[in-house]
Amino acid sequence: MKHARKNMVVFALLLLLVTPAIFGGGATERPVTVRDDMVIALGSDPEHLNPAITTGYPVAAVTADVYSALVWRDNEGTPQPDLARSWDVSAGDTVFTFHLHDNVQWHDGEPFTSADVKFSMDEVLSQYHGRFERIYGRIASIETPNDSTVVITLNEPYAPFLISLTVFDAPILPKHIFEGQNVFDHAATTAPVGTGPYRFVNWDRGNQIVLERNENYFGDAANISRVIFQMIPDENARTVALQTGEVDYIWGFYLPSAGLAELRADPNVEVWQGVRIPALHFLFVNNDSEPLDNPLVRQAIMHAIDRDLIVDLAMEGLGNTAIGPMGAAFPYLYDESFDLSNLYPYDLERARALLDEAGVGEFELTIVYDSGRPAFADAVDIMRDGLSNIGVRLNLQPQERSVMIESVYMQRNYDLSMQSFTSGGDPSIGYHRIYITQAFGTPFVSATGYSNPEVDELLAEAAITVDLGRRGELYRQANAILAEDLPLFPLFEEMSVEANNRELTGLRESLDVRDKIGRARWAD
Amino acid sequence: MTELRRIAYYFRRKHFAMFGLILVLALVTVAVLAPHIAPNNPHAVSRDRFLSPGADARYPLGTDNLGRCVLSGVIYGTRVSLFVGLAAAATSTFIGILIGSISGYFGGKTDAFLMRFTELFMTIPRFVLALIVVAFFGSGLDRLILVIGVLSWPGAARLVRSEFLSHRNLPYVDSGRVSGMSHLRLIFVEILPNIIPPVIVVATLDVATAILLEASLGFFGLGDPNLRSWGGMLSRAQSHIRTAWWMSVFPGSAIAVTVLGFNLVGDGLNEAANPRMQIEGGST
Repeated sequence: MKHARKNMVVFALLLLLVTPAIFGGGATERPVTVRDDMVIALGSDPEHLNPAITTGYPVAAVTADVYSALVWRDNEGTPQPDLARSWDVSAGDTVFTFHLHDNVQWHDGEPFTSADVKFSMDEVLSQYHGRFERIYGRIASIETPNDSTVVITLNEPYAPFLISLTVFDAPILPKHIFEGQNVFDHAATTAPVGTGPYRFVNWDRGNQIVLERNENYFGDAANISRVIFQMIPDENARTVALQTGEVDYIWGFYLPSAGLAELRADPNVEVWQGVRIPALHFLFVNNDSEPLDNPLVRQAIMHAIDRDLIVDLAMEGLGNTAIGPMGAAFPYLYDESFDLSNLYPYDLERARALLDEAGVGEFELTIVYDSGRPAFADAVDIMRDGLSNIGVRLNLQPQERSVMIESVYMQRNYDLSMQSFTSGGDPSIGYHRIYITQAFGTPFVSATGYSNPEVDELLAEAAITVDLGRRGELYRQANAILAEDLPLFPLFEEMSVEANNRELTGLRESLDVRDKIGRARWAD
Repeated sequence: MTELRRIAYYFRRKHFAMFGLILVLALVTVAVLAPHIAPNNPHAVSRDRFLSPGADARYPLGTDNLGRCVLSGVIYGTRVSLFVGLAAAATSTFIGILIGSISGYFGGKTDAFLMRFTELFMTIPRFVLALIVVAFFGSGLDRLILVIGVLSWPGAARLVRSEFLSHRNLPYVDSGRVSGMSHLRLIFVEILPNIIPPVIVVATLDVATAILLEASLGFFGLGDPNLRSWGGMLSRAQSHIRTAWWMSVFPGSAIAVTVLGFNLVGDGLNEAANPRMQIEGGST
């Protein structure tokens, strides 16, 4: 007993002592040598190395340059030829004929053919890939008239079809290796054999994965001969590793925003930020909960949320608040006339006036959010402070992710809930689900209870409209309605951030930073 | 009253115990007067963030990543820590007295059963269970107190039981029993007042444990998010530890000082109540 008490005092004192112990790690001289490798930090081991059976981030990170797909997406998001050197689209936008590169070899020397494409889509992706499964439901048939042609027929036009054929959504696996095998157990699921610019060398679990240049690559050979993925679980340690030169490149997924200020100040480090694959951060609003059922009250609250402050403090500047209900990153669906930062600027006077007009006094709202997201907790703290100025008390309910899903999507037991949804590269993939009428009970779709048949119709038509001019028109109409109804509170559009060794160039040449790393090169 | 006088005498002589008592009284004062002492609203955010201590007179201990005043947070955090500590210790002591007295008074099978139950509770890893309970039932102040209280009673129960065992056959209890007093009266009116001093010692030390447990839960993001607490402040400070040391050092020190204060008082009370220990530890 006495012993336990002593331990407690010691523990309390330790709390004091560990703090300074973590300091240190000043500037280290980096060696000046000709480099022919590149080290990319990962936060954890991938679960395996088969991108066709998971949508997990690290799996795709390592394999995006080992495997190839029919197309890849450039910086603007436009599909570019990869395994398919060109394609034709039929008049009705339903039949896609892909002409494949000849003389493509798998890393084991076997030839690549159209049969590999059909096998991957029919046998593997359609069964085990979370996103491709849904695309596959729109496909009527996949035919291979000869070794270098694939014909895919859709049930009806689908605007984002081509962009759903990248290595992240539809990587092509070797039929000769996986056919008739259990894809989960097969050796090639942890030691991949692809067609990409890098071939797999070895995987030392918990430490690193090594890739080396594929000398028989059908496209432009990679510039750097070895790519090493280094596992560094601690986020502060990753930042330090970049500063000491141990690591050359950290993607936003693994970059702690708290370390950004320090990295920005480091002359050897380049910090890049901008919108890549657009993602929207917003508050779901329970439209059935009083007084949030009143649009005036919703507008008042929107006026009392300082979105700029949230971006600056909670997101370290990584967000854009000049957005419409579906963001601003897809230029064709944005217009200043429904820009929320113009319509609902942070204005407490206006907020109070709107609440008076609605005839509501002080009230309390429960805000539910994922307790595993520190940036959400910071954002919610900022909102609480702002809303307290107009007599709205926020009751904070951070919940473990599975509990949060249950209370927001299954029970709809919340007033406000902070969420972030990715667009998936196209508004019809990621953003429609936030606004269209939904029966509740499905995770990660609208949990607001909002239902506007006009919006539903406009969005349904936009999904099957391929012509961008017409498509944009439909979206702008829908957004104008949404900006007024305000069924939820869009906060900001997320900006990606990455940090790399300043000497490293040729990065970020594709929409998703994880592919096309073969284009990276060391500055002379 | 001789008991009290002896404790008072002891505290005057033992500087450590006195120091602990002063710490605890000072903390209670800070907690009660928090709104008057704190220079700022502890929840108010601002663009003046990461100010180091002394950089701005408005924020004597600097500001955190959201520009909130660290000093005000530490001051308001005293309220949370002391309230949870005292309430949880009261809860656990209450349960401990209930179970320990019944167990010790009746003895036999009742005792055997209750003590096995108590031992079962002692084998449960408290912190892990608290983590799970709070993670799934949410983390209001009431739930924190209940969880910590319900998980901390075995110590008090065992102590109360052993005291009852030594009292149950003393002449004053026998005479009460012969004169027809009910069990209830014997337990709570006759015996209990005689064993209060050691119970207070255990309760005081339980306060320190409860404060530490609350801070640990807060550190794992499971404190009451609607209040500024030391554990919560430490939790947010983690990712800024390399650049803003003041975010972790001040709430960390507050926890250390508070736990130290309650432990010194508990030790002092313990030694004052046990003359034998005074001789052993007499050199302090």
